[in-house]
Amino acid sequence: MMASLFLLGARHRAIVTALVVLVTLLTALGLNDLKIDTSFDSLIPEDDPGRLVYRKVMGEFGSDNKTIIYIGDDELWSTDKLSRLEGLHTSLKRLDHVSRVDSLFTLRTIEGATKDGLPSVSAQALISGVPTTQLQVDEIKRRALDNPLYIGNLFSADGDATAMIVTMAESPQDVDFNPALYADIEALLAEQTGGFDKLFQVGPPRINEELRSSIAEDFKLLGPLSAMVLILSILLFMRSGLAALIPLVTSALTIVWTFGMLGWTGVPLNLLSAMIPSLIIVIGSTEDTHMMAAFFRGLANSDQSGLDAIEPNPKHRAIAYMALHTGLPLILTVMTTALGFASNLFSSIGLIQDFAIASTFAIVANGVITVMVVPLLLSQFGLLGLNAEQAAEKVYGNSISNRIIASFRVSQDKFPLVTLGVTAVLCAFFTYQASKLYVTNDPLSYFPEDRSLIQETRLIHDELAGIKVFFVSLESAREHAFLEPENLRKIDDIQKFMDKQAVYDSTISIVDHLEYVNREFQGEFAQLSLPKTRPMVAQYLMFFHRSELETYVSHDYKRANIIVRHNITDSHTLNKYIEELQLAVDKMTGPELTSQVVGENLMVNQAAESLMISQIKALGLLLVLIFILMSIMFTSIKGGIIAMIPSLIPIMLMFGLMGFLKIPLNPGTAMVAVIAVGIAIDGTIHLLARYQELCSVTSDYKGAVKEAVGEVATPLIISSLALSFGFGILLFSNFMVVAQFGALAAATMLISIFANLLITPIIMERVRLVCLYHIVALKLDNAVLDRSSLFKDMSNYQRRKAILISELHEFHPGEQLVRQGDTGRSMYMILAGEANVIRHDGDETRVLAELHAGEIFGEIGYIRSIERTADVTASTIVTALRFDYERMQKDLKFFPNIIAQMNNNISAILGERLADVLDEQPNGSI
Amino acid sequence: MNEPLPGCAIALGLVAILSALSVQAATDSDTGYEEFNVVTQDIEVERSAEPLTQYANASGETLIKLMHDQHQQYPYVYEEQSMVLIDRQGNRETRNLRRYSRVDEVIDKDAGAMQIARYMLVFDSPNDLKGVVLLAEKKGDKTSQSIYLPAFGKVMITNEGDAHAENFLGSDFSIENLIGEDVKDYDYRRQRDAMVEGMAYFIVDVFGKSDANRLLRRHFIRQDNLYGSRTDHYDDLGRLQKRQSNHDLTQVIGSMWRANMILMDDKQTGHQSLLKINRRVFSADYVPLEYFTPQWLYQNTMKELQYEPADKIAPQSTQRTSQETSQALSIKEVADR
Repeated sequence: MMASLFLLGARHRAIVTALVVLVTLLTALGLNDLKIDTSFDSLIPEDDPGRLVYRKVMGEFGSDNKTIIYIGDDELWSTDKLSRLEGLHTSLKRLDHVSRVDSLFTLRTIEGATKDGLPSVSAQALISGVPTTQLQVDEIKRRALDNPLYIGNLFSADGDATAMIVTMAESPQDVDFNPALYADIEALLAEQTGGFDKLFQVGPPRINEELRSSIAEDFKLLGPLSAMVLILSILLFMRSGLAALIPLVTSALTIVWTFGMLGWTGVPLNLLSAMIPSLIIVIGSTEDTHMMAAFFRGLANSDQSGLDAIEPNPKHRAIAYMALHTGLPLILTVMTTALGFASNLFSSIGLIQDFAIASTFAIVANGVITVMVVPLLLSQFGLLGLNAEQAAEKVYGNSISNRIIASFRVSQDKFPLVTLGVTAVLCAFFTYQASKLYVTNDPLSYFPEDRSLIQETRLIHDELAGIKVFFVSLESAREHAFLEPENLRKIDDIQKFMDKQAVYDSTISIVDHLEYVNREFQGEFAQLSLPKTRPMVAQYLMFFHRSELETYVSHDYKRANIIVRHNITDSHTLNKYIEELQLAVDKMTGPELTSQVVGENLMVNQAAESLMISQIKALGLLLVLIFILMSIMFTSIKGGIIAMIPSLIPIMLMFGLMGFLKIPLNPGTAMVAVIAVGIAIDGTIHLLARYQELCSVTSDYKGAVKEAVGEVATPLIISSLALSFGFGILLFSNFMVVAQFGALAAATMLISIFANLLITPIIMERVRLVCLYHIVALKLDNAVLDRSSLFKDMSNYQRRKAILISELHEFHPGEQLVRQGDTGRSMYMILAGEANVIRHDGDETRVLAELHAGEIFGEIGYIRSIERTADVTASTIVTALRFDYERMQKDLKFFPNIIAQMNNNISAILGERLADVLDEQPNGSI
Repeated sequence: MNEPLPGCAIALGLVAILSALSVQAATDSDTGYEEFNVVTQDIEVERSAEPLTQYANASGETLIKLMHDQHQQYPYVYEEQSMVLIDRQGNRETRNLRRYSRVDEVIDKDAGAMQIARYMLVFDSPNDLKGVVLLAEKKGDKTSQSIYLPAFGKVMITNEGDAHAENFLGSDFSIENLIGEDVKDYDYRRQRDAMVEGMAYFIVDVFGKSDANRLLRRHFIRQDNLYGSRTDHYDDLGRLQKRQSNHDLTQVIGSMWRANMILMDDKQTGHQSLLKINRRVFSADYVPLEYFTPQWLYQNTMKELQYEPADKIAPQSTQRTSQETSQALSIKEVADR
């Protein structure tokens, strides 16, 4: 069946080509509708309870979606500079989608003084028209820097920097909105080039635009780079142009299918999606490598493969050989890799979910394309001038992998337990290091430190206040509660607490406004303090227009808001302080007030915690699924456990490395484990599958391990190295999360070489595996098994397993099963075919018996080692089971139930035979 | 001797007419319409109106003066008002206040005869604002303002703020909106008359003296009664910033009209301030001069006052207005709180 599936492309090239082309064209139509999602919304879980609260607070107090334009200049306070600023301010106001611009040109001050012994107050605009003299400018500067509401928010302490805060109008659903606004603002700033020492914008439009442009750059860079690395590494290892071409073709088709599907279904691209082309190229190539290795092997062994009956065409025969030896591993690999990616669907973060959909589809599509297209291409282009031996040599004659295996063999042969022990200690150490892992989900942490966006954000943080905002929102059941000095003191206490935490850049509330006005009214020597009575509070607030206060207090004074600005980029740190703050706020507000700490960037950072949890779930589920899959595949729980070891070791080491190097768990690095498991298991499957094939024809398990490793090593090393190079390409990404993902995945692939080729073989020698597929696929005549006393009281499944545990041999007509005079402790059962028992006595030869399916011979030899008394020669093609006494006893510990039943049945057969002999020939024996 | 008489008469008549026309021309500093090409939004002009013959050649300044003379000159006005502040989400805050205004003619030793216009706003509610007073005095060209905040103490705080400045005491009005603009401070240019919502208007644009190109506001003056029922205020980019519209117009005395509801709608912030006049009295007894002194303010603004007119003569005009909020408010003097 597997051969037929793989031969589809070879036998029906035109139809398969047409089908592939049709699907490719159809999916390609979806490419036009591809969208990029850079919104912060995709970083917040859909079910985050903070969303509702956030929306309510935003609805009440206004959006936190603001762009800050930073202007820094040593000569800022001059008529020329102020005139330029005024022009910039005016131009910004003219922009579409801008609802408001706050700058020194919109500020109002309330200044108290004493005039003729009487207090006076002046509530007026900071600037009315551009000043024409330096004296006027100096006066404006004095007034501006005297206002505590503005220092650290709109002006730096030394006055050499100021900010214009652009508030966007209600954001439309159009994803191009922010980039358009960013571009418009950039154009205005460009007009001022040279006019100020420093001039730039920072805010959601810029961050979104940088995300978009960086994603686009990644797409353009990483895919082609990965392709180049792939070609180079395959050429280096396999020195075959065809071997390099085929993965490129399948990858290209997969990329079109995948991104076309995304366009059709509306699943947006995001910064993680940019690595999908690289993943496709790299991961897809590994299976292609295994398949081509098997193809070349099949070509080299074409005459001996026994597939002549299926395919007379040598290339088709090689494809059939390829199908038989790599078909099942391919399907399993596709399943496990897809499972690895699909497990990310557990995440409640939209960014990761979208990536999971895209990547899972890509892997499955690549599997389908590989099955359809690779045989097609191989049958079409074949060897491209090489002969089979030369081709096979490319696969097996690789000196690099031979040297690696040779060095591993030293440890395996001489120090197996030490090797296992050292590995266990290393795993324990790195597991401990992994306990120090922390999580971060801040979008700004996606960018490298030397990026201008990050540096400029830091400058704003240093000189003004951080661009990240959250609110501490308080609510009372009573109207006008926040006119009460007592409640205002609570706000003041909260702000003082936050000052003590010393991690936020600024906090501002209605209290600051009142303290400011109170200071101005009280006179020049007064300090900032709250008014003492409620009427005083209400009367001071008359000096502010509602629009100046609506961000800080609701119209009915039931709700108050503290706006906090900060620059903390580490989710772990921020979450810790926020938790501390929430506890303190709850304590300070008492039972009369309810409080919430809300903000979009808080939700994004708190989602980091869900990131950790969802990845643990995903990894756990994946490991369980793979364990179940492998246990079923090898019909043994031990098989399942052994299959997990080469996956678990790299995960432990990788997480430990992250903890040790303080690399955070973020949306990129969090996925390494599940993806690495899904990929690394590929080599394990090939290794175990080949091992179990060899075990079915030899009792020398150690030898079977060596041979399996020898055959699988080269493609495994090639694919692991190619994968690590391919993942290493991601280091060139614009995003730290992608680069970290790439580095860690590359390291994991390298570690998996050790796990698969050094550790696993040591364990494999000590077990015996049987593959479920082979159990199911075994062609048997059930009637024969029913009649056979060897399989008495055994179920069909047990019989099949017993057959595969034993040595299954095939003999051609004329071939001897046993030779007269040889010594052996084995017994045979014919499963299919016919054989003759022939005795030679000097020159005389006579046929003593004809043996048919279900019959047993050599059973005396099973009991004790004696010389064979006759030849047994196949007269047709014979399939026979060989039961070696010592091996059966050894296998007892792996399959005790089956072996015990078989030993019982053999004992019964021997007893019956003895009885028959005693009946027929009381004094002789055969 | 009879034959030259008709010719002389005709000639004299022509001379007289020409003279009259010349005088008329000389009187008006600018005649006809001036179109000012400014980028403004939201003029909502349906179509041009045919100019009234009577004011066909009146200048902008003339029309403004006519408007002020006809409707703003009553010297003693007492009003009970409700000011409703509405934010962009529709939330409302209501303040009740009393407005006192009186104009006195004085002789200044330096300036000679001049008018002193006094305005006072006294807040009655909400409770936290009870007794807050704004006192403004316009003496000749000079305007002074002071504020009394009862919670702050018995002292008048001089308000040095710009009278043109917006957002007076938290509202969308400026002091100038409340006490009226001074014609001498501005340039007025008449635009083409217009029909808006079925009503014919004179349109007069207002420019500052310092910047002849910056349109500050546009007055819409009803042609039928010369009442300015709408004023559009523009920002420095020529965009509509605020619109003041006057509603529930009532003819109060002679040809004098007053609005019982004034709405200031800030188009850019979405905030609105609505001033409703619940009661208006044109009587000197209601705005005695002593009320405009700090001593009276300190003693009385926190109390609810009961008036008994000193002269026992019925006021010249008493009017109940604004049906929604009107109540017969009797002002009673009660014992000290």
